[in-house]
Amino acid sequence: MKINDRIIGGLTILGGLGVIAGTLEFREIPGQQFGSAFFPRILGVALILTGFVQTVTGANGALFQVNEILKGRSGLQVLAALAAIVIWVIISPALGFILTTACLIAALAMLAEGRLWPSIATGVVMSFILFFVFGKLLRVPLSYGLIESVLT
Amino acid sequence: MSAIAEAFVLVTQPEVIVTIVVASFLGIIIGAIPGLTAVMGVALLVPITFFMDPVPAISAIAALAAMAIFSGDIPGTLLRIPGTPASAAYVDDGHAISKSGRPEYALGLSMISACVGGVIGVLLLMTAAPILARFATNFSSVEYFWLALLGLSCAAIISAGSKIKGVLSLLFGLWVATIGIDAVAGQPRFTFGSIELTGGVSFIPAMIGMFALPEVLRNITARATKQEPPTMGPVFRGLGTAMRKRWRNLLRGGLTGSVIGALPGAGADIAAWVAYAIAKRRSKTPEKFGKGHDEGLIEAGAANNGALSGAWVPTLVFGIPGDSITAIVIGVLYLKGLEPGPIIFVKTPELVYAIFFAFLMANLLLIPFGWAIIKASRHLLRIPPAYFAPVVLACCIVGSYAINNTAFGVLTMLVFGIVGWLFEENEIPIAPAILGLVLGGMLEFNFVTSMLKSQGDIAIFFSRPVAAFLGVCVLFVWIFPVFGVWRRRKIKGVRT
Repeated sequence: MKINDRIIGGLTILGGLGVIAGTLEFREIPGQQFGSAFFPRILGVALILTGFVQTVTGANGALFQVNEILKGRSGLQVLAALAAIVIWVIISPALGFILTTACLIAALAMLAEGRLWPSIATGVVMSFILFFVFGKLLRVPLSYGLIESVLT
Repeated sequence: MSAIAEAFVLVTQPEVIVTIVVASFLGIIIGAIPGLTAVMGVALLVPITFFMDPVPAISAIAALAAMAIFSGDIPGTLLRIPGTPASAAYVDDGHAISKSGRPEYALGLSMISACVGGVIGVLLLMTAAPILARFATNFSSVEYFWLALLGLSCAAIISAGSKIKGVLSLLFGLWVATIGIDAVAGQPRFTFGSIELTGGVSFIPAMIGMFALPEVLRNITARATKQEPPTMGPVFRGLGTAMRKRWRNLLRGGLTGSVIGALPGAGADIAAWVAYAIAKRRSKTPEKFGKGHDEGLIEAGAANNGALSGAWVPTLVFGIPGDSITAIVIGVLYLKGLEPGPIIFVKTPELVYAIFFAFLMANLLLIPFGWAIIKASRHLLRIPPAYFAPVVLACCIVGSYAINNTAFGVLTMLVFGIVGWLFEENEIPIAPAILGLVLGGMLEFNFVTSMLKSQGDIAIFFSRPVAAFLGVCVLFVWIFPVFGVWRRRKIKGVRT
């Protein structure tokens, strides 16, 4: 999604003001000249100045421009990839790492015009490899989920 | 036992050698797949290195990067799709040689150039780093403040595209670095009430998100190429004669790349373009460049890997990253409890020399691994993005999860991935934001410490000769582009 340069500048100015506003409640340390707010306030001012220059020098054009990548089937693929991350977070503790990851890979591969069986095979093989590398070799506590009784 | 002998023992441990070989294998595959870059490969490797000792961890990163930068030439040469941005400078020459029926010759030249350039870079690293480190042991917070600011300024201003957008990216990274509890005052900053954010934004998920997720999104919508990669003949045929004829290009490319790589903020892609331009200027047949000539390919190919090694000089000596990959390395060193800078040369010299040896080993391994990947490249280039993009996404998820074993890491990766993608869509460079995130803490600490020492007197930043010199360099980096814009407008005004 392409955003007009002047809007980027405006958002940067708002960001700078937000950073400065966020420091107003930081408590001062008695006897110390430069506290927690000192550096973020400098950043806030720098953001405002950068935003101002960006607004003044930025090119004119459409306010927002939806890129080809977000239109039609491509847009669906992008949204699916982002949604897959959230879905993984929600369901992997119950369903287990291997099943969730295999489904995620296979579904996204098919959505990206991969063929059915190669997509499923890629999902299954790669989820087992990742489970072996992270879960077994590196001892990351990945959930077994539904297939715990089969694998343990 | 001397530090060098100790380092040699460290790097020849079976687990280190196995790690280097596995990382080299991964790197050479990642670089050869169009759309997957060396930086992304390193970003995905970091969660695995999190569980390793410092020497194998850093060796793995060095090996993966060296291999991926070379194998990025493969899709460039065979399909005219640069595998990594660093391969773009000479893609036309490589592809033209390939189309003339000698793809193995073009790739063989790239392989030898990358190996020699990498070795030159390592030799420079081995020579320059300890000398600079001895000099840097006298630095105080003021010099470190200027060094950090110099590195950040170069990253923001030297980066391709709009300089203002580079600064914007940098300020975003610096702001993200302030999130969490302030170590001095114990004040939570910008945590929005989240307990997870009190420890700050986790560097690894943020970095995976910004570097890898935009590539996944691009690849998941990409279609498989219709081009059929050509078959390969004997890889080493004719290389000896070519290298004897072009040894000047090889050495000059390696040196140019190493020196440019050592400048903070200038990475392998800038080095390759500069080396290509130098080769063209010094050539007796500049008209042949871009049409299948080997001079530019050899010189820029050597500069690529030379820059990769050179970037480690400021990283190890000053703790200032030379490029995106070394920015990640600094984050890894901090995670391992090692503070990059001159003290690391005094406290753990064996570790530094082990890194040098690992780098040398990785560059020498380029020949056997390079030969194998050139032979196998036909098959690798046929893998459609539909299959590898979801696998990379799964690696991003599990890598982000593995750092703290919480889903918060995965969500951090998602948020930073969307930010990274928006940045790329709007031509805002990502590297300055990552450098800001890595160096923000150091910059703030040295700035506030210096201000407290001087009780607010800004003159302290110019009170020592080296500090004053560095300060002038920073001011030059900031003022020069402004002066350039003013001059261009003035010339334009005179013409109209």
